[in-house]
Amino acid sequence: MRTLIVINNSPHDEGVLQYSAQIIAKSNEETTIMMIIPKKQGEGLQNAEIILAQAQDRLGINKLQKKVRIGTPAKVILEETKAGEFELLILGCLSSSRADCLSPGSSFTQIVEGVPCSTLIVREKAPRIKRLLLCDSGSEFAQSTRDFTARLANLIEGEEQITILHVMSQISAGPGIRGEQLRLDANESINAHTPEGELLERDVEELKHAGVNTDPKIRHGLVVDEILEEARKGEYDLVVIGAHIPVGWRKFLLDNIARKIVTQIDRSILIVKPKLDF
Amino acid sequence: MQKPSNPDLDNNHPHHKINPVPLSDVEGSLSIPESHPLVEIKKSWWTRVRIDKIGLFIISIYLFILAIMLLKDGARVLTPLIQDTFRVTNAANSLGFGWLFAYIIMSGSPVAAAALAFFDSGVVSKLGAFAMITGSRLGASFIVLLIGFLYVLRGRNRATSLSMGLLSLSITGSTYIPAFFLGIFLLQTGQLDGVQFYRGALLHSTTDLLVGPVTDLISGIFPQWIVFFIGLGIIYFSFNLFDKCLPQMAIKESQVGWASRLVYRPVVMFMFGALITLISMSVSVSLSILVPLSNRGFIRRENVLPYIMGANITTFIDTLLAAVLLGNPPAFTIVFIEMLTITLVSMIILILFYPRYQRMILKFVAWVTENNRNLAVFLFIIFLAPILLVLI
Repeated sequence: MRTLIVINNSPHDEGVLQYSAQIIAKSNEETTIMMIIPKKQGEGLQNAEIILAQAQDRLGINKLQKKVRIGTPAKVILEETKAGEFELLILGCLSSSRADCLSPGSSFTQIVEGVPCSTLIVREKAPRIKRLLLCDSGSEFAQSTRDFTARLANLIEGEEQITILHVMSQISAGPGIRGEQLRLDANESINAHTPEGELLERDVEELKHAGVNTDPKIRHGLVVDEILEEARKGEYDLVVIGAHIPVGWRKFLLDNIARKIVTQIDRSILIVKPKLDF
Repeated sequence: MQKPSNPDLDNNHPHHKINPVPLSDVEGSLSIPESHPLVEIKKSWWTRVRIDKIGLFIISIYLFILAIMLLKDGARVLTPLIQDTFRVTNAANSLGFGWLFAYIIMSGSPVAAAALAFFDSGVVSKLGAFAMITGSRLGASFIVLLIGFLYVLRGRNRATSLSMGLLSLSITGSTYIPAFFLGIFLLQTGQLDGVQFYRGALLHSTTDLLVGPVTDLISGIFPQWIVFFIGLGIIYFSFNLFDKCLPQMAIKESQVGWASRLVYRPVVMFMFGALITLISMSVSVSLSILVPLSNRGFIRRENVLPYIMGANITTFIDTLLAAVLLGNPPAFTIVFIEMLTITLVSMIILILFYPRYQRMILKFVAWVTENNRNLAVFLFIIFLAPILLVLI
């Protein structure tokens, strides 16, 4: 998996390096680690090179390209990811204030939504990624999210447990509707062959095929609230969601659920972006 | 998909009245075989125009105009009944009266039209008419809940049967009540008194020509107070007829079902709800239109709240038309203020604190449907509130 790691000499770097080390250890593709400094100053440049060298030691791999770039983080990262054909960008928060870092419209959300590859935002340290939460909306791009998660799980050493979550925010549209399916849990849905059950069953089968332990789950409520609640209660090391695809009519009509989750979640999160040929 | 145990409950609904989901639509759509010929879909639009529906539409409009004129003629003699017997003398009384009136006739629009007729005849003041119209919508939004309650009594799941009715009622209450106070302020200060629509001479003469002979005939035969109730009955019937003009939805899950599973921007659903209700004129009919969009009759919580908020604004379009037909410019101002204030309150909610509002409404609905005691408390309050308002 061709990966770009961004560090910025902040407390988040520790977590970024922990996650990166686990993901790139088994990867055959070249990895790039980058630091962005605001101005071309001798001392700043020297410090950046020292930090990158230390980071390479922490990652424990030799096949690593180190880069120091000058400019504003959002601009540089967008340029680099577009030019480098990366599949994964790993970064922590780019500013010291978490609120600023995660506010909608900040340079951080510009990066997450603007890069052409999937993005892993590291929020905390995780010496060992064990518990993953895969949120499957059942959208047409869900396959990409599932495939990427399976690839990622295979890259990580040891056994991971992936909880596959589908949030059913539906209610009956009228009083006469029989809504038994609105109250089923994951196993009941799978047994009843409901659309949600079939979705989960497909996820379980495909991830099992990729050698991953899975646990399907259905929650009922508002999509964003339920994902945040599950992420918090389940103490996951990584939450995986599909990216919002702002193309065509979707741009104007659909709600950006991914942004709402990214800006509110307190766990590390991977936003999977499918390759689109629009 | 299971058939409703009583199909009558699902289909026979007057405007703003009992309007359970037209499961027959869904059943109908599902009964279309997979090999349904594509030729059917490619038919030219003019071959699908239903002459009978156009005829029904013209008749319903005619009856609506006739009913407004009869209400106008008959309302004046009801002054002693409204002011002395029911003691509707202030805005609070009017709010409660409109609310109860809508409960009794299980519809909101005829009550709103009656409120304008009362205002035109001097039975109620400007504030009274405004309050009565607000009350009529609060009462009308109870109807979907009542149908759900009937399903609960017949053993259906409480939350599934009541959620939509409770959402509709909660959203209406939480937007209309702040809008009511804002509207009272605007009416008292007269800031929007200049917003009036004058019925032109052409419209005046056309309506007189069309319905004049019939209203004269009815007024000549019956006492005036009966004329009022005949008008009320005709307007009720005209809405019922109008509902039958709406195209039946026959959409298969395979065709647009995917669209019903998406989460839309609140403002998009708000505008969609407003647009659909502008055509259907009824919140409950607009809600029932959502049912066949998914073959299971489900809708996302995220989508339904702003949809109802939008629907709650344009549902006044028939009342606005009634104001124009009455030829009473201040009556138009009253309805305009009603629509404006509800739009303002809805926009403030959508822009400033929609996520919190959404959670609050959903929590409230969950609380009411949690057990029978909560449901009983809620039903007691919504029955008691209008009675207390009338007695103030």
